[in-house]
Amino acid sequence: MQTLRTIPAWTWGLLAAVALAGLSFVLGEFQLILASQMLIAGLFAMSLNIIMGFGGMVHFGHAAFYGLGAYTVAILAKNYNIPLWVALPLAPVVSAALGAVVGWFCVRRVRLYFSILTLAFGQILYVIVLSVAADFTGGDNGIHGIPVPEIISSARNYYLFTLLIFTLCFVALFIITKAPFVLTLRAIRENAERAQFIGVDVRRHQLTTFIIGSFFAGIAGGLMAILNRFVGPDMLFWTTSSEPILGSLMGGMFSLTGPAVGAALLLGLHLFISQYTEFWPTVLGILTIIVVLAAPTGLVGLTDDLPRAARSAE
Amino acid sequence: MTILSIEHLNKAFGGLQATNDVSLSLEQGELSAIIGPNGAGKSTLFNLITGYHRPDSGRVIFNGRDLIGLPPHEIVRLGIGRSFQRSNIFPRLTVFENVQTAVLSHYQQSGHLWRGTSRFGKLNEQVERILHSIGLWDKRARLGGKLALGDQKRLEMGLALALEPKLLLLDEPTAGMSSEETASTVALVKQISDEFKVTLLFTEHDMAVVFGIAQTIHVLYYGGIVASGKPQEIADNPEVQKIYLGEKDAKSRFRG
Ligand SMILES: Nc1ncnc2c1ncn2[C@@H]1O[C@H](COP(=O)(O)OP(=O)(O)OP(=O)(O)O)[C@@H](O)[C@H]1O
Ligand SMILES: [Mg+2]
Repeated sequence: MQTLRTIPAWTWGLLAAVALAGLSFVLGEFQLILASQMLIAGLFAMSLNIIMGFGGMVHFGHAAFYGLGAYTVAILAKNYNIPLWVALPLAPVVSAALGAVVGWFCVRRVRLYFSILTLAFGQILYVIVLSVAADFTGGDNGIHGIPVPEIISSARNYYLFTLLIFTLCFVALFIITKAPFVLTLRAIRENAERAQFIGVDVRRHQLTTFIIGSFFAGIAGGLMAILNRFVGPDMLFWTTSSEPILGSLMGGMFSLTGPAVGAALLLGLHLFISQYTEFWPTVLGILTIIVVLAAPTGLVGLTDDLPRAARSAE
Repeated sequence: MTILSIEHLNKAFGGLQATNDVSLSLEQGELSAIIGPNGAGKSTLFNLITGYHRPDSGRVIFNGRDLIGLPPHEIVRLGIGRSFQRSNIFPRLTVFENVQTAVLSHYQQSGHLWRGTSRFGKLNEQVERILHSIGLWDKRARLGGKLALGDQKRLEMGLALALEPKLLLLDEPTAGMSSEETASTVALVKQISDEFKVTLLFTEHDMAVVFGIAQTIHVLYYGGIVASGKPQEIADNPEVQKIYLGEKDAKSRFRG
């Protein structure tokens, strides 16, 4: 029974990964770069959604941890000539460490107050990168010319590399969502008070969630830094935080794949529509309104969370 | 042996003295009830014991440990489980997941990051046993919030049972239930008390239930204890009779 249900999920995932890898032989250079961006946006959205969708904590400062990952790679690789194979793995570590500090304060408050705190901390980190630490970060100019190893310097190879990292992260997140950690997290989202009275240390659980989300955001940021060979302070700015929020909203907050699909689609749509009109924000606004009013559970809807959960109980 | 002793407990909300110098103790394995009119402070007392509220003064000693100041989850881990008067469950988790979350927590697995919840065989068998005993096995795939009120109250009790508590506090376990549901719930409470070595304290408005199963009864009135004793002593207590005089046939109801 159990294997019958788990095998298809893995099979589908494997098929999707193979298909995405196959794309690399079909797409041109420009499209491969766009596809890489989509994967990174998808990873960024999934990292947020662990906190926002499964954890119910609306996080307005997530871009800070994405940006920190990007700057970690840029500063180590460019300023200190540290090989990328060392710099990239350090990106999520730095983001998670800062996430632990910021999260420690934020989980002390709930709902709107939590959100405002994340916004405030995110903006503080933005200002630090923009001006306080400008000697390191290049301030407004950011950091250009991040050296990239030969083997991942072509658009195709970098796409495949991004796909590999994305897949590993997806599998890790998939496993976490099936484990007691996320079941308990969903319980906290549903009724934090009751969770305490079944013996759950709610704050600690939420803090761990915050750190995990920051960790994966750091990976996304690091990948973006390599793709662009450039990082700028806007990566930490709060408007960057809104992108995975809207992506998750479009794709469906209660699932793992929803946010990734939503964020990737938004990115593609942005590019496509910008060819015809300068009013992308208006289009985005209208889309958001439609989704919120007509399909509040997003494109992927509830398929991943509730019904499957219901079935797995049988 | 005394498992819980409450000493001179006080709690005021603004000018209202919800708990007024309450002292009482529970013996290991005892099945006892707290009665009292609406607003007497029964739920508040539960909230003080379980760390939901912090008392203004007084002590709560459980197995030799002072509970005051401990957060709720630590009190739970010491072995005190509770249910709530108004059903308080995880509405968008299935019935199975509701109890599963509690069982995983009890076995300190809530933070496990990589083993799938379906692969905790032993613990899931435990979930199954609990669902059978609260009569919700057939409804295990339903969402908690979609259950009828009586079933939600039973699920509520399942969450508390999952913790295998040494002391179980049930706040009006039969509130909102039909008479058949009440009967089966009362039987369940009795069974829990007999079968496991649980010390059980419950509040209840239905006097037939209280006098039918409680070994000891504590009467609360305006936040203070008016009387504590065996059912017969409580029924014969003139002060208690006076409190319940407003209610029809108080005396005959006391006789269960
Ligand atoms: N959090 C609170 N803030 C303010 N007042 C409260 C609070 N909780 C309880 N009270 C008040 O304390 C008094 C005791 O309430 P409590 O809920 O303990 O009574 P009860 O005996 O459980 O009543 P019932 O039988 O209706 O459940 C009531 O007057 C109530 O309004
Ligand atoms: Mg009450």
